[in-house]
Amino acid sequence: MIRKFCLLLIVLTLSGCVGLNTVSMTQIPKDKGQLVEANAHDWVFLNFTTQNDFADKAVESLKAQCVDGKISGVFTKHQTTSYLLVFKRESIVSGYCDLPQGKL
Amino acid sequence: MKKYLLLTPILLLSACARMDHIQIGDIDQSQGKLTPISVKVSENTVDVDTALAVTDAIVTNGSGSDEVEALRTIWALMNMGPRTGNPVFNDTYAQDVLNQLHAQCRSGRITAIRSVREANDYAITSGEIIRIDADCIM
Amino acid sequence: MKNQIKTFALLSGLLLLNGCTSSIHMVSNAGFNQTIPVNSSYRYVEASTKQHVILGFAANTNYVDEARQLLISQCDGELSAVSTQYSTDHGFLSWNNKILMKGICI
Repeated sequence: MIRKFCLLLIVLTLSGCVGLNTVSMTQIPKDKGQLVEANAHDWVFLNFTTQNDFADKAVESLKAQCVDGKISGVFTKHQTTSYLLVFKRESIVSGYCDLPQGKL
Repeated sequence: MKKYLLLTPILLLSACARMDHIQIGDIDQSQGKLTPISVKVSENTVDVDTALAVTDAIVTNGSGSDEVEALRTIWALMNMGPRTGNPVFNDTYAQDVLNQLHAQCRSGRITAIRSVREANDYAITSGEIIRIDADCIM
Repeated sequence: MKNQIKTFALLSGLLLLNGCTSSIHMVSNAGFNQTIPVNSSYRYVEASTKQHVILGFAANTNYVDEARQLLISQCDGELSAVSTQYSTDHGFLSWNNKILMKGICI
């Protein structure tokens, strides 16, 4: 009984451990502009999944924050947080939004 | 024993290619003539766990050895962590990639960058490779 | 006796190689599409951070954001030709996740 309890405790404690999958950054201009950030995630059970569309949502969200502008210095972080039987896949994107003079 | 000696050259000569990660950048063909450039850095390494297992199997004729099992466990405990491909003993082999890439392109304008993390697997050894292919805008 | 010596020798070898392995997961490159102006000065900037993880317990990936901030803070001008390397140094029941970011500051 104690062994089972200890095992459950270990499993639950280990839950929520985050690991980095990939990271990348593009060039950053001198006039940085406003920092915009977006985050998108999905949940997968036992790593079974049929699509990766969640990543597109992060890009759309970033574009929505810089309409008619240019986003540079795009920093992309793809990480996975492990829970008991499910995983949270996350795409965290940020960049510097440079809007044309009239739009400021 | 003879069959292992005969098998070894075949295993060593056959290599499996493995691709772990690829990233492709912007491709700009509107700025001028493009010249392909490439930087490839690699580090050879040994899969120690497999090497110990194979050695154990050969020496003890498949019956296994407690000492080797213990060594494999110790090795696994002492080199724990996420890995892509086989772990290497020197991780500085990719630090000058940026400088090498710039040295090949005088104009400094590089497009169509393909960053590839790949490897050549040979039985118990492997060559862990980082290859950057790109085009230099003349 | 022979077996013990053999085991001791092998064990010593393994202990010496303790935590010697690393693994590079990925290298990404971007921002190479502009010429460095002839009369301008430029310099290579570099930032490196790491996260020590014991038995997989890691609450966040903030070390990555720190590397980015560190790199940006070293350059007041344009930061181009950005190269990002993600690797792990293996150790005893723990490891160090490392980020190395390099760029050219114009």
